[in-house]
Amino acid sequence: MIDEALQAFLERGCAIIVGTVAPDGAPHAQRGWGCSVVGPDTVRVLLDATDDVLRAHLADGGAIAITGADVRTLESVQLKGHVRILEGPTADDLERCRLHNDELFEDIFVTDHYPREYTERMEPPAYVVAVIDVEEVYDQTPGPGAGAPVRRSAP
Amino acid sequence: MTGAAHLTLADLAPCFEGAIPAVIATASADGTPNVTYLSKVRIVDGERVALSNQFFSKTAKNLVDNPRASILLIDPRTYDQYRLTLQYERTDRRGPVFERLRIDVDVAAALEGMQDVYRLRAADIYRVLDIEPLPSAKPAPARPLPSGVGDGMDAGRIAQLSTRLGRCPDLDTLVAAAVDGLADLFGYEHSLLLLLDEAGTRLFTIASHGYEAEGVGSEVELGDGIIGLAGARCAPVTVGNVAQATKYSRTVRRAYEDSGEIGPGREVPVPGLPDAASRCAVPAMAMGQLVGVLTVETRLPVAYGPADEAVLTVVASILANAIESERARVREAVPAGPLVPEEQPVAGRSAGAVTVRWFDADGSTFVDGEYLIKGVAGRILRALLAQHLADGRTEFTNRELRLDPSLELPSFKDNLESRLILLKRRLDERAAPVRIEKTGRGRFRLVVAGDIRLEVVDDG
Repeated sequence: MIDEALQAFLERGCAIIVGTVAPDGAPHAQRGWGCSVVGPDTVRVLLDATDDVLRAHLADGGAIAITGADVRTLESVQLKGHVRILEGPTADDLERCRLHNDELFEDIFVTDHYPREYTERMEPPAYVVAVIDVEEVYDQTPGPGAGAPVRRSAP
Repeated sequence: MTGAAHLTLADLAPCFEGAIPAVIATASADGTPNVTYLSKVRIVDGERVALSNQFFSKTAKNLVDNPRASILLIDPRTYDQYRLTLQYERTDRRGPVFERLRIDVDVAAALEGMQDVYRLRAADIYRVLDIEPLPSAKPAPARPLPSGVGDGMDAGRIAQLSTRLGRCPDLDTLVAAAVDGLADLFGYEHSLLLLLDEAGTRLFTIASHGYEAEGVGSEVELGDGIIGLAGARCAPVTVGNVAQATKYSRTVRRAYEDSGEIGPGREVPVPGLPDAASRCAVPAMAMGQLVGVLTVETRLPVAYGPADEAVLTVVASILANAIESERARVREAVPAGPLVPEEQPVAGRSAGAVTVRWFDADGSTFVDGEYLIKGVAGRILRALLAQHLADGRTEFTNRELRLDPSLELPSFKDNLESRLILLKRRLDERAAPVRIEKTGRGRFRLVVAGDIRLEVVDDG
């Protein structure tokens, strides 16, 4: 499901946003950080550990959507699936997140001229890691083709 | 509305200028979330926001089944983040909210020449149920990023500028005083004044302030880019993040090209700062007609708002009416023969002269191989030089120029004075060996330094 090109895209400093949903159907928007591909259909994404609503939505294998966008080109991909594990970050997770954020904030500075002192303020106070089984992938690049499925997993 | 007690939509006003893309999460009826970026969210009133709907997307489908949304906004001055919980109320396909969002979409379309395919389909209106500030790992910056000229627009300064403009004896002085006054009195360090051409299809720059090269003579098609759109709509257009809007527009353009809906695009060249972050363009109107466009720009994001649009509209209106008044004054017909002699010299009087090459097809004029100007202004220079080379004449009047059929001026709204100013400024800017000096109202002198060789190229 996640080929090498998509892996490279997700792991190179893209801007990540996250959608979750409550049992009553209420959606919830949040940002994500430091995505890494750890299996053919599995990614690890850091999330805001202080967002109690988000954690509640994901606690029991909740559904999740994550969209990664290249800040320079706005090319975007959306992954949909369910959270298998919600756990604390490892030292590797935090280091990967730091490198990912370096690339992201540099891209924003180069393309949109916002200094890092400001863009760093998007980072949450603490992280939690979601291990996500990816079931669907969509092209989310702005335009008439936004939302078209890239590949769908076998049932 | 619940949420942090002190937060209102008005407090979040800078978040709605589109400088930083918003985020929207929705959920389908079966509980599958969807999350994507939004180019812009607009305030409708104290309790509602509007989202544009250009594409029949998953977000739109979800909202039919489950009319709730969660959006993230960022204040571009501080990078403070907010989450808004929304309840869908209605969809507008006309009316003031739709029109406001349509301008946003039209700007994106105009930046990349997509006016034929990229249009607003609908404006979705939501009630805001909650506003929640998001925590950050980092403290607030010591100072918010500057965003705009900032110190307000008072009637006193508008009166000062109006007085300065009222004292200008001619158009050349008037347009210079306008752009200089906008810098002196209001802090608009980068401004351009463009006038509508004779055919009513293009705008050409007649005055500028704050650029390394003056850019006089640069042109933009009516409808193209922020400046062209303000002219075509006869309404102010303000963009708070030109880079973001351009990037978004290019991406959408590529998607349309990939889908085969439109062919390979052309990048719309725009006069002005290459790295402008904010641009505000207002139409200069007189007697219900578009005369030109006045535009200001800056490298600061989200720099302009309604107050800027208001003051620029006042100044643009003064300019437009002055220009129209001057045109009316000099439009008195007097009989005169053509300025260009029957026997046109195709060569100057001495070897080693500066060569002015003039192309009959479009009036393009080159001085020693360097492009100078084209169109009406080029034809004016050719006529003046031909007369000068024929009999040494240096004194001319606007009236005789106006009646010279070789200039191919339209009988109505001929723009002659504007074109003369354009020519004068281009010659000055290029330090050309030919200059135009004003000698009185409707009169001027051709100052020729050295020997000129005029080559007329009939390439038709």
